[in-house]
Amino acid sequence: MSNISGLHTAATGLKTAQTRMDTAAHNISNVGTDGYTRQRVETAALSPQQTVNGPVGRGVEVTDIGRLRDAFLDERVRTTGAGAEQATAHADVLERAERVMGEPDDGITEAMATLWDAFEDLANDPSEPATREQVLGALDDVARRFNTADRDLDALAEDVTRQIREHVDEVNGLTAQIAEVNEQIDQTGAGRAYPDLADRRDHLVDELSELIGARVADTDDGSHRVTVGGLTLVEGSRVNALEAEEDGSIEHQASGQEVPAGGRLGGLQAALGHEDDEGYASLHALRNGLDGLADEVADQLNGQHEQGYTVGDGESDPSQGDDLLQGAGADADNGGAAGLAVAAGLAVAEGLQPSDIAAAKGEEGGPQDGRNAQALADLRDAPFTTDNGEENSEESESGGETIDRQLRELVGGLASSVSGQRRTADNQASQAAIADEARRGEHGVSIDEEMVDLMTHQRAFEAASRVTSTIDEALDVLINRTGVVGR
Amino acid sequence: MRVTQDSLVQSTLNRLQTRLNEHQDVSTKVSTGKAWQVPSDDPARANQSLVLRADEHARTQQQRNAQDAESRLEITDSTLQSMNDRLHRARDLAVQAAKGTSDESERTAIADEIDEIREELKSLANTRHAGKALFAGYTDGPAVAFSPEDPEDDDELEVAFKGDDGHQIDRKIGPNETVRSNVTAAEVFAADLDDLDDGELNAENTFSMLHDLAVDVRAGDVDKVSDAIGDIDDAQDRLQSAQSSVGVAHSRVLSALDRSERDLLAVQKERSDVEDVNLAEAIMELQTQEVAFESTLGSMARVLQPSLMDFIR
Repeated sequence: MSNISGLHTAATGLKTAQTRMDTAAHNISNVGTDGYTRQRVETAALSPQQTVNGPVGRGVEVTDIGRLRDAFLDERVRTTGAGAEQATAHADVLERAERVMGEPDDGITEAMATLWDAFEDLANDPSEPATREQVLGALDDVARRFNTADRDLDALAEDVTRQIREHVDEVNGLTAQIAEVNEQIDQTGAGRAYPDLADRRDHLVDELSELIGARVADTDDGSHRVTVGGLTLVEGSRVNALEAEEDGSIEHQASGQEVPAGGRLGGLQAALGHEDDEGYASLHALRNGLDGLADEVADQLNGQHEQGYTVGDGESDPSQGDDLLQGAGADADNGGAAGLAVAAGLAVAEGLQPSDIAAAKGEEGGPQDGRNAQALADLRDAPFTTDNGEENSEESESGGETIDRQLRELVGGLASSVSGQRRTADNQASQAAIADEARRGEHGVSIDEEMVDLMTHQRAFEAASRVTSTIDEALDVLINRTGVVGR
Repeated sequence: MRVTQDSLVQSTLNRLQTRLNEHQDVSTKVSTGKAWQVPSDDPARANQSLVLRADEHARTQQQRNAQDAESRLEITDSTLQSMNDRLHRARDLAVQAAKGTSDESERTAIADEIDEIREELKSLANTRHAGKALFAGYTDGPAVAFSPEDPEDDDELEVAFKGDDGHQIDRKIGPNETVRSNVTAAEVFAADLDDLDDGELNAENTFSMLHDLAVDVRAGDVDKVSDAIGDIDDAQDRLQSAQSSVGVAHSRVLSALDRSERDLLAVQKERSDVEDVNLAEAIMELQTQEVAFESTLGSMARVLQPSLMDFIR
C-alpha cells in the first residue's frame, strides 16, 4: 500500500462531499419550484485494491443522483386531480346557468305569477282598457324572460365551446412540449440533467391530466407514453394532435376517433351536453326543457284563449280569441326540431291589440263578461282542458301538469343538479388536495433536512481535507526530514 | 407522513381557504338576510319557496277580488234598500188611494208621485259603479229602458231589460270559492224571467205595474188599485229575495276576506321561515367563524415561522 493511494482515497471523499453539498444547494434553491422533486446523491464504496495485506478500500464514488419520486403518488394526484377538475368545471357552468335563470326573484316564475294576476284583474274589470294593457304587458314580460333565458344559455354554451377549443389548443401545446422533453431525455441519457428533465415532464403530464385526464401508460420498450381513454397522445417524440369540433366534441386526428376526455375538458363537455339531452345536468338539456315549457305556455294560454270571445264594437262583431303568444317553432309541429326555437322566438302574437283579448266566454257576452279571463287565470291552478275534455290530463302533452308546476320542476331540477354537482366537486377537490399534500410532503424539499445534510457533508469534507493534509504531512516527514542525519 | 415546507404551506393555505369560504357563506347570509342565495344552495327549501310565492300571489289576488266584490255588493245592497224604500212608499200611496176617499186633486198628486217613484226606480236600476252598470249583467247598460220613454196614461209601458239571471259576475275569493257579485235588474223587477225574450219584456214587471197603478189611481178605479197592492207586495218580495241573496254573498265575502287575511299572513310567515335566515343563529355562527379564522392565521404564523436556520449559527 502506498501513501499516494491514500491521498487518492481522500480525494474521492472530498469530491463526493462536494457533490453532496452541491445537490443540497440545488435542493434548497428549488424549495419553491413547482413540481420539483428533491434529489439525493447515491454513493458506493469503490472496489478495493488487492495488496499483500489483503484488500484495501479505495474510497467512494457517486453512483447516481436520483429523484425521490413515488410513481403511485403521481398516479393518485393525477386521478383525483382530473376528477376534481371535471366536477368543478361542470358545476361552475351549471352555477352560471342557474344565475342566468334568475330564480326566484327575477325569473320566469315571477313573470308568470304577474301574468295570472293580470288575467284575474282583467276578469274583475274587463271593460277597462288599462287591465287589457296590463295583460299585454305581462304577456310580453313572460315572452321576454323566455327569450332572455334562452339567449343567455346560448351565450353560455358558446362560451363553453370556446373554452373547449382553447383548452384543446393548450393540450396540443403540452403534448408537443412533452415530446420535446422526451427527445432531450433520450439524447442526454442518464446524467446530471436527467432528474430535472424528468421533473419537467412530470409537471407537464400533471397539467395535461388536469386538462383532459391523461395518464402515463406503461410500454414494453420503456418509451414514455401518454394516453387518454386508450388513445395515445404522446409516444416518445411522436405527438398525436387533437382537434375541437363545433359541437364541443374532440377528435383524435390520427385515428379519427372521438376522445373520451376527462379533466376540465370532460367537465365542460358534460356541462354542454348533447342536443337531445333531457334533464337538468347540461346546457342543452336546460334549453330543451325551456323550449318545452315555452311551447306548453303558448299551447295552454292560446288554447284557453280560443275558447273565449272578444267584445265587438260598432265596427266589428265579437270574434273568437286568436293566439296570444306565438313562437318561431309553434307552427312547425311537423318537424322534429319544432320545439327548438320556441323559447328563443316566443313573443306576443303579432299585431295583438288590447281589444283582441277574449275576456268574454260567450259570443253574446258583453263588455262586463270576464269569464274567459278568469278561466285563463285559473290555469294557474289547473292545466288546460278543452270544453269537451278532449285534451284531458292523460292525453295532453303536459301530462296534466300546470305551467307553474312544470316551471318549478325545471327550477328545482336545475337546483338539485347544481348542488349535487357542487357537492361532488367539493368531495373530489378535497381528495385531490389530500393527494397533492401527500405528494408535496414526499417529493418536496425539507429545508431542515437539507441543512442537516449540508452540515454532515461539510464535516465530511473537512475530515477528508484533514486526511489529505495528514498524508501530506506524513509524506513531508518522509521526503524532507528522512535521511538528513549529520547534514 | 413526511412533512416539508411545501406541504406545510400548501395545507395551511388550503385550510385558510376553507375557513374563508365558510366565513364568506355565513357573512353573505347575515348581510342579505336570506338563508340561501340561489336555489341550488338548498333545493328543497327553494322549491317550497316557489310554491309559497305562487300561493302568496294567488291569495293576494283573491283578496283583491274579494275587496272588489265587497264594494260591488255593498253598493248593490244599499241601492236595493233604496228601491225597497221607494216601493214601500208606493204601497202606502196605493193603500191611501184604495180607500176611495181622495178627491181628484189628491188622486192626481198620488198618481204623480207613483210616476215619480217609477222614474226613481229606473234611475236606481241604472246605477253605475266606477263607470259600470251595476244591474246590467255582462252588458254595458242601461239595465232598464222604457218605451215610450215618458208614457202617457193611454200608453202601454214596455220595458227592455239588459242582462238576465244567466249574467252572473263571479269573483274568485278563495282557492276553491267563488261568489256572485251582482244581481240583474231583470231578476229584481221582472215577475217571470221565462217571459224575457231577448231582453224585451211585455209581461208583468214592477215598472209596468206601477205605470198601470198610476193610470188606475188617476181614473179612480178603487178595485183595480186594491188589486195592485198585492202586486206591489209581490214586487217587494222579489226585491227582498234579491236583497237577501246579495246579503248572503256579502257576508261570505267578508268572512272570506277575514280568512284570506289570516291565511296570507300564515303563508308569508312560512315563506319567511323558508327563505330568511335566523339572524341570531347566523351572527353566532359568524362569530364562531371569525374566531376559527383568526386561530388558523395564528397557528399559520407559528408553524411556518421557525426552521432549523433559526437555531444553528
